Amino acid sequence: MSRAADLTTAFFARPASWPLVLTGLLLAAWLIHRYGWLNPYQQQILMYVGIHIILTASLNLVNGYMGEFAVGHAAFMAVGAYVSSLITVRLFPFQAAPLLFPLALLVGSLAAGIVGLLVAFPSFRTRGDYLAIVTLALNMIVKSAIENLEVIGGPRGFLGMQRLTTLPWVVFWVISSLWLLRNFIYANLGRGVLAIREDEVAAELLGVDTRRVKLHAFILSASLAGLAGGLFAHVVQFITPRSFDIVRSTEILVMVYLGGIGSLAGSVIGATVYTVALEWLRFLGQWRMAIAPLLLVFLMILRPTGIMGLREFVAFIPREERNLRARLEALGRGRQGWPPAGEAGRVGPHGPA
Amino acid sequence: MALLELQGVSRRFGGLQAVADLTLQVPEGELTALIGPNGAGKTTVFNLITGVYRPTGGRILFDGQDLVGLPPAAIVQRGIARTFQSIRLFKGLTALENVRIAHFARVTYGPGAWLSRGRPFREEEEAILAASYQWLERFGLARYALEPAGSLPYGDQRRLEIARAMATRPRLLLLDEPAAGMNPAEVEALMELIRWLQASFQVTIFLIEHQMRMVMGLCQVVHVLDFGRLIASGTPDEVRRHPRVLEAYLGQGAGGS
Amino acid sequence: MPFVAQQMVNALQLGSIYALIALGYTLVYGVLRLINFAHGDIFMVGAFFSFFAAAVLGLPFLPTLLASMAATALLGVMIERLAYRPLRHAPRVSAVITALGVGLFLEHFTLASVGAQPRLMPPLIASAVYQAGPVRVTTVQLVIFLVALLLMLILDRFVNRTLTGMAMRAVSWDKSVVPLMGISVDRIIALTFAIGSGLAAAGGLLYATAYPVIEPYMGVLVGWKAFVAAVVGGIGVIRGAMLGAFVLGGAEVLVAAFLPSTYRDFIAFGLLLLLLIFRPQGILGRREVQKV
Repeated sequence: MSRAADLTTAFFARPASWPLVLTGLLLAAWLIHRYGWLNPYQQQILMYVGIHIILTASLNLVNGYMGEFAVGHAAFMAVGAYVSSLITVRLFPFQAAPLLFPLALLVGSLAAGIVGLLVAFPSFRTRGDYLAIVTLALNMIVKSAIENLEVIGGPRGFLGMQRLTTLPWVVFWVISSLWLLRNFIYANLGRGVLAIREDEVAAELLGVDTRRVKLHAFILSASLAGLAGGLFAHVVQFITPRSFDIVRSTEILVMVYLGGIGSLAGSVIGATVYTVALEWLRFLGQWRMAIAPLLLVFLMILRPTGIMGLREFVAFIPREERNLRARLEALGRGRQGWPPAGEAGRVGPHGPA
Repeated sequence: MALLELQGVSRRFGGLQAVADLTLQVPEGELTALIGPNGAGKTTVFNLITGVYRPTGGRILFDGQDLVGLPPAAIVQRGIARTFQSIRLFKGLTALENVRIAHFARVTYGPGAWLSRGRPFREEEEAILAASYQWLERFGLARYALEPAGSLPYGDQRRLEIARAMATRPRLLLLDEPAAGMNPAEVEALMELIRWLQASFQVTIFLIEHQMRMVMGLCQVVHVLDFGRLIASGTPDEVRRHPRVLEAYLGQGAGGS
Repeated sequence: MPFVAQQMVNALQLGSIYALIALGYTLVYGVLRLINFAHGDIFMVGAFFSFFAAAVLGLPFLPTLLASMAATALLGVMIERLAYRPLRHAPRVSAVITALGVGLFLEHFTLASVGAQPRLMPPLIASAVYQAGPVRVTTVQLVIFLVALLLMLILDRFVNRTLTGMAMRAVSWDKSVVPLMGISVDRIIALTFAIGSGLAAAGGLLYATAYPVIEPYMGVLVGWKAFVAAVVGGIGVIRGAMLGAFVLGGAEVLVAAFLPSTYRDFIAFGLLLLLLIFRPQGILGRREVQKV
């Protein structure tokens, strides 16, 4: 195991390794799609895995990295799904829709990001249980609002989308989302996010503009969920308000806490394990959905931080952050510090060694 | 010249007058102490200065400018940093990360930079990393750089908190009972550290302390608070003989620790 | 005017049911600081217990009420013992996630074991209509209101006047000093779950009496609504839960009277959001001062 880990570390230490892996992934996805290497059902499951990865990673930013407790992620998914579907069905000419699909996804994602503001503002003042309630209420309100909008089908749902989401597209958007999240987390705002999780008051008193950090985190999280919603809508080609209810939100929560909080690798694992396991368990019929939450309960009791639990695969850490120890050693030669040289002997038991 | 000036500052919590009409000055470049019996409102004064609470009356001038109404993060940017009575490190993050976070407000790169992680981004990040590590070294904490802050020994956690506060490059450093829970040897080392800080970084220090020994050994000016009111100000010797101070402390063993 | 009075009666009926469920949220929150997201589904299970007692065993109203309250109370205690107690010292988020998991489990377990098709609750109360001035009141409405009122009065007296009730309030005030007074915190918490779940079961039976269709997902929306009521009243405050329930019931009935009924949820949760922005601690809640 540790040998494999060493090899992975060594591999990803090379600058060319990531582009190689990503190109390989995209190429494989395209080949599978183009030549039908996997049957449509298998491809569909892979697409669900990808969509779930985006959802899980985006919620992980708020719940795992920032330590808030948002429970209504499906609301943003709904906004992205409906907005992008409306665009591809009502706005784009039928033939041009596949080409313009990314545009529709981005607009849907933007719309979801704007709705994300509705959560960001209350989060300035409240956190914990109350933020859970706010996000829950938002989930209910978005669902209820769609039900009352007859122009987009109301409670009967909306259909007419072409199956524009393909495996290569899903792989592309998953890579982009994870890349975006990684770059955000391992930068100044991302450090602010971690500081808020650890101690919001202390963060504020160290000059962290917690409002700016939260605004960024919530908008980023919501718009990625919106993106996933758009992809989802163009796989299933039929969406109803019930597709985005609190049960869906709970499913995303399960994936986050299954894979592990505060970890992109955890999000990938959680989404994959959950999605594939649910497919495998299909033979259980309706009992399947009773077993999944039971697993979650066991998980919370036995390993509350999830499979990865705040740890990260080397591959998901930017190169500059990876070899910190070596870099620190290079920095730390021959510096003067406290206590002044020669007085070290007088320092108490906790002084420098 | 006073760096910090409180003018008639008050704060009420419901029926409790936590701080009443408090007027005091913290002279630039000096070590000033705020002492008083338990529950006298000392920490509340720090919370008012740093914007955690908003005063119900009065003005708080820092370098001649009113701080009242500014959010805490903005006050930090003006140059006030603090530590906490009960240690509030980011316990799950490494010591290095704790100090890096303190650079938050100084970062100048925008979204384009963190998205692309190009040269401007890397250069600034490199500078923050170097500066953070240097703070750890200065405080003799470099060997803990990649350890979770919560796993450090108690005395080192206190020091890391001061290092983290200093990393915001404050002109005024507020220390809330820095010697709490320390043994005499540790207190001695802490006093030395504080003197060293003041001498090396020209930082004005305002500290709350319970241990009279520390206050008497360090500070040029002492303010005494009791039931939210200022009852005495002066040099340590003047304050120690002040009858109202003796009276306030009598219940707790006059002048003791 | 008669129209408004009639709507008031409807609001009282809905509010009574919400109140019984909201109390469970608030009691558990009081002692554990845990939002028991499974509570709506406990209500649903309570409704199913009532259904079995009435339809399968053929019991009349009162025995049905007592049997389903007892069975559901036992379920609540079991959930606490198996799922929540191991997490009492874990981060609070773990417990809340567990609660969500337990709720989903109850839903889907019920779905898998009794099937998805809705069941029809047999009428347990002979229906008659009384004309009181301009207002028509049915026996069902009277029973709902009286049973809810009685249970709430008993609870209020129990919490405020008995030694055990005082211990419950002590636990919600400060868990760490209670063992010093010779009270077992575990037993108080178990008791709280029993009472909360029992009340939810009563709510389940009354709900099924008023709207006699029961199915495994019925607890989701009603549960969330009751939760909104508890928050509106000030979560953790017992009388707040009752007040919040009647406020919410009133608001919903009014909306349903003047707007298409599909706007009901929209209004209920919009109300919640507004309240959280302007008075996050709820109508009767205390504001906690941030400690630094």
